[in-house]
Amino acid sequence: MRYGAFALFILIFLSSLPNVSAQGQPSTIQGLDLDWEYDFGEAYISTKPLIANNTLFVRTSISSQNSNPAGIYAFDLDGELMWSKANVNSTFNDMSPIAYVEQGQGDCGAWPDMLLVGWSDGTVEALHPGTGSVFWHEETEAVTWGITGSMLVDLDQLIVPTRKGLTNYCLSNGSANFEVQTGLGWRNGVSKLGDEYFLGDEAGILWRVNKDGNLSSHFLDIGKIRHAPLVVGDMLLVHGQGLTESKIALVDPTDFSIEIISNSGPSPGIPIESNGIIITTDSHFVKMFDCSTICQFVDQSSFVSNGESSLVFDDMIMLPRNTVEGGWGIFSVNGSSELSFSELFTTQYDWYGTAGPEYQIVAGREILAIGNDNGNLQVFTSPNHETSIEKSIETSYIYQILTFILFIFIATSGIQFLRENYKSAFKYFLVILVILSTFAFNDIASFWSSYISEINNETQSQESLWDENWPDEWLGTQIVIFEFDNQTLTSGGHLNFDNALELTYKAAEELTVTVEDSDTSIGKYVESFNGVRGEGWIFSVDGSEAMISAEYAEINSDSIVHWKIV
Amino acid sequence: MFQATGIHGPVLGSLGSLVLDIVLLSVVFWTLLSSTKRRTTDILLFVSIIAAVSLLRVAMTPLPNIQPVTVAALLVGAQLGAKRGVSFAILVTMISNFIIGNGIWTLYQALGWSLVAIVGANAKLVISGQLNFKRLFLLSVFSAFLFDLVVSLSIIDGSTGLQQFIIYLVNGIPYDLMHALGNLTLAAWFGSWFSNVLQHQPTLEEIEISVVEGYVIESQ
Repeated sequence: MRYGAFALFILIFLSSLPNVSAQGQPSTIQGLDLDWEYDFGEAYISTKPLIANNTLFVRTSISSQNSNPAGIYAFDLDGELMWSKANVNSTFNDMSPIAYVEQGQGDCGAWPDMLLVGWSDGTVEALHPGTGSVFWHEETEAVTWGITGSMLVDLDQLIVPTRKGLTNYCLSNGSANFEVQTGLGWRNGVSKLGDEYFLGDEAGILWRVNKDGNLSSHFLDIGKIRHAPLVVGDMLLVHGQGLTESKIALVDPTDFSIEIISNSGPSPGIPIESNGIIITTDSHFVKMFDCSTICQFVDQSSFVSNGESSLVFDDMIMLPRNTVEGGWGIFSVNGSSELSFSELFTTQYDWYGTAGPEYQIVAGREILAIGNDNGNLQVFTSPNHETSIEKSIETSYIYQILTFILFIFIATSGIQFLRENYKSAFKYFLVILVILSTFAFNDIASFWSSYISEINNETQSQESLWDENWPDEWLGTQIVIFEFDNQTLTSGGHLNFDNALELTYKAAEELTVTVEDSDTSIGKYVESFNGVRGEGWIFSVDGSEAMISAEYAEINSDSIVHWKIV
Repeated sequence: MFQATGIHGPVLGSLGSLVLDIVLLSVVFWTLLSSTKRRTTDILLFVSIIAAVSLLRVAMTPLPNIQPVTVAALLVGAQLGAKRGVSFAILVTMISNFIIGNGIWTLYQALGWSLVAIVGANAKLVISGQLNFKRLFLLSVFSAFLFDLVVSLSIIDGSTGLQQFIIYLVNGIPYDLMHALGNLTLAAWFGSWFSNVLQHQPTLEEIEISVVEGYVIESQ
């Protein structure tokens, strides 16, 4: 019996060790581990994902007649899908990069944080980044397709390269300041130099549009211009697409005079610039130019890439290989003298790809998001970023000690059971249950309450509870109401709060309302707001009176939490 | 179930609190009222137990609905009888709520634990000085639901329909289960020890015998 108990103890001890082998070899790239992934099904990811305001936005494109509709997806950085929005009218090739603009104010008026999307059916939309609800939308003409190039945010204006021209919208409400006709464009992004906008077209013409909407143009004779001209000092770099080759040219924007600085392969991608270094791509080469003083060719490497490229890991370039084998090329830029191939990163989803990777450091955490025409998003993160180190050091000791105690109880319970001392085993087992239940209680209570609320269908939509006096920017966001006897205070526009209490604290902070609360055995109890106790405070979530502590009351992205004094 | 709302019942004003305290203390006074003389040590021990359980309740507040008072009330009722069980329940509720928070819920909590004490007094938990653990465990679980049900009644007012009350009860099931699990654990670990402590307290029967014997001796 003692041998049995000893064996059980060893088993339990071993089970507490990190189970490395069971997890298999994780996918890593430059020290980042695969954190999460998402399968969009039958769809392309043709333009780079975007990280902004702790949210990862991904746009997908139709890949075939039977594929899923094009859409926009918003995830939190842990991979939880927050919202998605489909455009069933979209045609093929939704590849206009999505853009994020922070709230601001200008001559046109004020605007909140917005996600800006140009669709291949010609629609331009300003979306609420927290919910996907539409702030405003405008239509542009679609000829087979509509908007495919990169848009430009210029102060309080949004400059949109449409299929047949350029339109200037007010960011605040989408009203058009001007609209001009140019040649037919494809992936024809717009750029700004001085006070003028520049874009190219399929005929190889470079267009110049000033702030008043006046137009001038010049045929560059270097092939189709399928990207936003790259601003290099006071010049524009244009990578023109010919039938079998391409030309890389510097264009003087004042008189359109050009200088060819290199010939290269066909189907050029979108060039990028960093600290005077220019990287161009096409079906033959990745090329590097040093434009810090005068533009000169520096180095090149054979590689097939026809879409976007990105700067990653401080000093590296990462770009999708647009072949059936796919994969991602990573190049090092050594100073301004050498472009060296670092590695070809492959995944199980490799295929054709044109979307650049998105790389950002958020709160000390490196995040790399990649996707290709296979419709799979993969997100890699640094395993030990600074904040998580601090947090884990702060909390892990407590949890490890508790876990250790838990294992001691489990072991003791097991040993007592094997010794046929059932009473003692039962006592230890009860403690184990209490510890586990205590840890899980928060989630259990929240889940149970949500479940009961759901089957009773008690909650009301935000629209039905909406107050006309609230600003439109609050639509689709979380709102808190404090209803005192003699006044009502409201705070809205909140995002990403998980429970009513957290949201209440935030709203109270914004409204400078003091909160007095206390711990009870069933969760936090709000004693007073602004020192007003009355006969207690009750709260409702989405019109349904809450049955649990605000600490455990789960809320949605557009919930309304209403506190009333009794 | 009670407090599952995250709200309590109405917070009482100073006059309401005074009335409530007077009512509860009157009940305590009545239940402890006896023509018999008690030893100071017995009284001190009883007071100490009340203070200790009250503090334990306050200390265990951060744990989700683990209520040491329930098992204590059960055992006090079993060992010392219903009257002292009720007085124990009321005093512990009042003292601990001075710290945790006072209001109309104090009345319902006191009522709930008093009922638990009465159940304990009538359940023959202790026979010939031996604690019947099987019965204790069953009653520990039962009394959790009993207490929570009584306290849940506090939400009933003119605006609460039967359906709403049932939804309220169903919402509180995780809290009830946690309460029951906590009771079971406390009973298993501390039931025997606490019962032995209480055995030092004389039962009413013992008090009566000692009084009668004392009277007989004095009259001889």
